[in-house]
Amino acid sequence: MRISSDEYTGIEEWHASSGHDVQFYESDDFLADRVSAFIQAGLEAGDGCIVIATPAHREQIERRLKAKGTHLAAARLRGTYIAQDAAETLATFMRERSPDPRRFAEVIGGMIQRVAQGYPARSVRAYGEMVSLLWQEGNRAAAITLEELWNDLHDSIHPFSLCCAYPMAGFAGEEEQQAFLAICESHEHVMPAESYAALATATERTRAITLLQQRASSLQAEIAERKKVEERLRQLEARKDAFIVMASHELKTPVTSLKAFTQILKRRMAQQTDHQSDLKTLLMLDRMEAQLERLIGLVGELLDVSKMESHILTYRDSIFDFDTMVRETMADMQALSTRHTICLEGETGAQVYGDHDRLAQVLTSLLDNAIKYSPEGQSILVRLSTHPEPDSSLVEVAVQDHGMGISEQHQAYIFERFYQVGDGQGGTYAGLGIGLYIARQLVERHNGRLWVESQPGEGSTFHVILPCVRQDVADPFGGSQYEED
Amino acid sequence: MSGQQKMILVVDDEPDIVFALVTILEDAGYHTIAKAKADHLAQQMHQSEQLPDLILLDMLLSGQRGTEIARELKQHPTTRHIPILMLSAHPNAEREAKAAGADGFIPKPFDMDDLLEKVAAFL
Repeated sequence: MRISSDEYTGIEEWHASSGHDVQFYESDDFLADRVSAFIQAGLEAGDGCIVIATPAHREQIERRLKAKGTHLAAARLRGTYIAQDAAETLATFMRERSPDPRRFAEVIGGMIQRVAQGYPARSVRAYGEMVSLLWQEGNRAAAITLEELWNDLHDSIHPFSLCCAYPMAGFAGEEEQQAFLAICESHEHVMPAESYAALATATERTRAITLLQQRASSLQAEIAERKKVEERLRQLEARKDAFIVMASHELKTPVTSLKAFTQILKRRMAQQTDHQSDLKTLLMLDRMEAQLERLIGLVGELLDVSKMESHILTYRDSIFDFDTMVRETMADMQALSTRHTICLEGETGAQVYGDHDRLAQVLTSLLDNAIKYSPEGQSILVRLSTHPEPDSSLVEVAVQDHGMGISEQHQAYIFERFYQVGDGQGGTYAGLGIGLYIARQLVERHNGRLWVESQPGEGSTFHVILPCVRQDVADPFGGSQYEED
Repeated sequence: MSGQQKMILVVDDEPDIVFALVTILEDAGYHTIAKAKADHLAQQMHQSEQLPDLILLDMLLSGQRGTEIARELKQHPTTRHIPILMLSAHPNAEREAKAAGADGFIPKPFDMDDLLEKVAAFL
């Protein structure tokens, strides 16, 4: 709702003769109304007036002044009205990221003396948005210094009244509280934003203040409560991560002996007999070993996620041949499925700098998915290609299956933790739903991208793009150490 | 393996893992000694006349830690030359093992052929 300027009966006028006011505002319209009323009254009283504002605000203010019959052109000619761009004026006295006191006094002091035109008794009114600009840029210290420079100017040259304005939205958040107090401290008069200014009577205002006090108190209680909950969540999260690390370790101990015994039995059986019944036993031992590998993989995935969340996943970076890594990973995965044929198309001839095993893990994960979501068998195509870019070179490996595909609705979530695509009949496929999450994290850690293109019923293609080592650059990493825990 | 049979000391507090390791190594022709605890192992070895040719040492032993033992063995002139392969299921153990002076690292669960390959490399 726009409140017309006539409705601001519940707020005092800006101080006309001297003083340093600050006006908070919620809408530009309210601000323009306030500034134009302040300037209009000044010009009518024969005061010198200065507006240092953004182009948009100057335009709004002057439109209102003209609508009220103020002859701005005449005032400009007489030299009693100066309007300046806030950013340009600020630039004239900023040094590095702080206002220079001497230049400020020259620029702004000179402007005040110009509109006073040598008449000691002439009042001067100034409205400025430079502090607000600094505030919005995040340069809090410079804004507060500038406020103090305005105060110093008060005491040293021609008397003037000044008003600065800040959008209330610039102070949202608990961390702004101290800065907000500093701003209020540096002004003689603090004017609330329009939601308070619209209140006409003292009763309405005291009621509003009481309500605001209650709101502030309940917000404070809510913040305290939320902080407690956040802290508790942090503790639980840390405990969960510690639990996963501990549980994975505990799970690995029995798995270690199981795997070792299975391999011992397999070797001993293979050496001792070739009877048909024993071949079946050997086959079962093979399956046992495969299932154990699956269990080890699941434990590893849980550990990876936990370490990623805690930023303690270890990487061993080196330069390696990308195509060889792809071919080796494909061969390992082909050995696990007789129903699928994994084919390779293209080559990159490129070398990649990164963690060989972790990037192989990404490809394993994509091939594992392609196998899992193509239950009818079929072929899986791995495509290698390069993307020469002006500033860098990229390699791509794409894994295409002809399986069930992924609907657009699922595509948005499949890279999230613990998200699983069902089989359409209420069931889910094996796995923890973290393989793709891990894969994307690993690719992004290598400054690459992983995404999917898919049509339900037509299969999916997962694309991985990674930067590769440029042959024309002697030291592709500028001699920097690229090691991370 | 005939003639001089190489001796491997296996230290792990998990009996089934010790059993599996000893079986794998003996099937491959090595002579083994197994210990479930390694408290004062370094002192015992400094005084021993027959030293192993290689030590397979678990990292997280109950009692004295594997890394501590490795450090003591590597500091003493009589045992410094014995290769130590550390085993662990802990995710960040490899770096710690190397820092303690271990010559190699075998993550648990291990693959039998990988284990034998790593052992053979030092013997």
